[in-house]
Amino acid sequence: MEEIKLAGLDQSLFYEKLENGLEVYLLPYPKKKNFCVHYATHFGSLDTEFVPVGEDKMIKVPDGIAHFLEHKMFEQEDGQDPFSFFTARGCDCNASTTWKSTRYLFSGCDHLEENLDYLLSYVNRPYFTDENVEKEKGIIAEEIKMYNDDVDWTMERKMKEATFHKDHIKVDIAGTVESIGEITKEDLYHCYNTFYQPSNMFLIATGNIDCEKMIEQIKNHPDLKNRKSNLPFTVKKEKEEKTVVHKYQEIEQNVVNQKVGLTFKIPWDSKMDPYLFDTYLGSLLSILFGQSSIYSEMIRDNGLATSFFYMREHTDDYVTIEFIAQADDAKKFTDFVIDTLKNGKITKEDLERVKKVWISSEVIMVDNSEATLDNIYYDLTEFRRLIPDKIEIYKSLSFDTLKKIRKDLKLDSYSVVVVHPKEK
Amino acid sequence: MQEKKVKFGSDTIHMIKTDLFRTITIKVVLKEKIAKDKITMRNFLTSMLTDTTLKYPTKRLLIKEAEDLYNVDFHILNRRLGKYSNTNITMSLLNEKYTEEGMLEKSVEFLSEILFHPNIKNNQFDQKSFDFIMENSKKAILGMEERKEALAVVRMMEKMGYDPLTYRDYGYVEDLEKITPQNLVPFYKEWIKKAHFDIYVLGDISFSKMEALFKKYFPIETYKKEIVTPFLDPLPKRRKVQIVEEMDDVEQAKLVIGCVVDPLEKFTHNYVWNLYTIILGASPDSKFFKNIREKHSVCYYVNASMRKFDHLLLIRAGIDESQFKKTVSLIKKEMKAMTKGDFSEEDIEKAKKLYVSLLDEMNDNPNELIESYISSDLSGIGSLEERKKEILKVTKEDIVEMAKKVHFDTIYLLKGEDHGRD
Repeated sequence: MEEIKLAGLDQSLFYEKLENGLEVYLLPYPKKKNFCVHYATHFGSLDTEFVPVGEDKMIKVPDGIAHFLEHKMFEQEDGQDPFSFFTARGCDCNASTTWKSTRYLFSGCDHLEENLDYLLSYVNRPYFTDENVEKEKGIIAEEIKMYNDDVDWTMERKMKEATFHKDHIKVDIAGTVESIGEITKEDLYHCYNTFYQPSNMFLIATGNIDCEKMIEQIKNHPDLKNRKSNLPFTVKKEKEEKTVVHKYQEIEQNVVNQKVGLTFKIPWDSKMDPYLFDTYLGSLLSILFGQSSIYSEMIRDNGLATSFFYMREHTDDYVTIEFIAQADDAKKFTDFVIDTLKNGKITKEDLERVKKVWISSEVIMVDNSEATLDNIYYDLTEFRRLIPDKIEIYKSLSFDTLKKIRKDLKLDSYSVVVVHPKEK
Repeated sequence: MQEKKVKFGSDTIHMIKTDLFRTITIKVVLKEKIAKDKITMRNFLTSMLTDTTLKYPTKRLLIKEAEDLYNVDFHILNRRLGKYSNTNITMSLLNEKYTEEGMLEKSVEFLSEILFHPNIKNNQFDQKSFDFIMENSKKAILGMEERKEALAVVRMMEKMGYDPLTYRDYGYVEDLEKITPQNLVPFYKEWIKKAHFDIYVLGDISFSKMEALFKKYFPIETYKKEIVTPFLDPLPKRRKVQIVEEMDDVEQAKLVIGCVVDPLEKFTHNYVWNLYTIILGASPDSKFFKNIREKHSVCYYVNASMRKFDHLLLIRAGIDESQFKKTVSLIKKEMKAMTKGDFSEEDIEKAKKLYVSLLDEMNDNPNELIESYISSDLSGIGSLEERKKEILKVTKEDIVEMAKKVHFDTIYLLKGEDHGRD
């Protein structure tokens, strides 16, 4: 195992890539009582068109299949229910699917070895039948409907639909009631055999763990040893256009207060590391729209929005900046944001303040083993690499580079979505 | 972990020394008897306190100061706990080892600025801040209508009809309109004078230094204050279960069932109830999850949760409207099975393990650790270690007896509007 020090944090991480290609990241916290293990695949809702392993033709599977597969992993041939297994051993277990990944996890304070053994077993033993696939459709349909009643969730989806032509990020992770209705067990096996090979997966563990013991246990796990791995496959990537689908769109929904969504579609800077580019973007946003900025104060004082927040998403070709606001006048709010992004004043002192805040946040976060694990997970799925030197990167941010990035920033491609209450 | 309590009249500082964390967490809990007509005003007041202060007269300057203190994090939360209305102000800061000397004192001073030096001039709160919070509060209260799952719980409690279950934590627009920058001043002064203060501090701290800092920056009154028990009086048993259906713009129907729990003796209340709830519907291994979700696939979520101070058990599920009767009868069936002892020793063992594991995990999180002390102080339940021992004493008979004390009161369904009709 290779020891990797998380710079500036008095915390080490141990890494090894196994022969079968599985990448293992162990982050020990000897003083903690609990532990947490995530076993994950780089397979999410975006991956719906691919050439499965061992075949030569591109296939298209229904939307929402990665999430459906996640649910179905809990079905075991011997009838053992993973939820029962972990609960009986004092552990909590769960799973989740994103656009880019699926993970299976457990956490607790007792029976680590036995639980890890079981995690590696059940995720390596798919058991899909026509009956159990059919049964799941009712449960997932209710899950989809639950999310459809969540106005924030639907707002974000509408914004992505308005921004992307082809990229699958515009489709809900769980798919639709119709699309999941089409899923068959054959589809699930195609996905499983392709994306759930150890070489497309990784495992992260944190908390009260013995790294030496754990890596041996993983290496020698029979279900993992027997898996075929390192088999090539291709996922279809479509080039996404620079333009947005709708520059301006109004939608009626069951909301009480009007909401405004503004999405900038920004191409990656080809000359710069994506994480670094993204970090510079983050610092720019923090300077201009953080709670201690004068522009944020202007939004408030001029009644442009009662509240707003922003976030970023990453696709193969673009970074998006999404602003979501509770605002009565959509035009005034969006004009102000666009103008501030282009012309708002930034200073070297502002950048130094952001650095100080971010560095403090990293130190605060590392106290929380699960938050640290989530953070690493995010980097591994969004940037496909471990970033152990964040504090060093923050320290190295230069004002001149920030100014240059800002000057070159392409802000002309954006969409506005206004969600207003239904007329009664 | 070492502990020390220091009393000032009715107020207390609870200090917990541990080297487990890089942060120091301070939680100030102000509690007073709940009153419906004060809810909105208190929410409004606490929003004002964290918006601006005398020394930091704009939100931007307040946040800037927090950032200068190495990103000290603070937030304020109001909640009802039984008969109490609680306000929690939580602050977490990096230990000086990771920042610079003097930051602890400055952070305590900052907290004191927020609580004791509000932006009051000429006997009224700052108008600009007031106007903004007013606009925001109105939108926030109205916006609760958008959160259908939470709304269904609120509506169910209102239909149950027992005060203070019927009170809306997030307040009322009508009450908002009565608030002025002037009348908020005496309200603030009375609250800060009469509420009980409990200050919890956890981290790698020195007891004497911490005590001195609070004495310096917290002008706490030391006279006797009224003490009330947080537990509500037992709720009456309804002769016939109430069924209410209401319509709203939802795609999925939200089912909420309120169950009244008879008065329980202490051990049952503190321990047996938890195991009953875990086995019934508070884990993915529960009867609800296995039998209602997995076998009948009528829903994505169906769970049970406890409101101990209220003697209340809540059951929630998101279902297709057509499955309403079926789901309710499945829930009834599982609850009846509990009264008949239709669960195994293994189920009890699993529930105990889960309970112990959840307690152990609290040790790893400063906020949850403090919460464990708060619940000990409020309800008289023992320390985490004591709880781990006591839970093992629960027997199957205990759980069966407990199950007999849970009674349906109100079954509430928030369902989609019939778009076919006008």
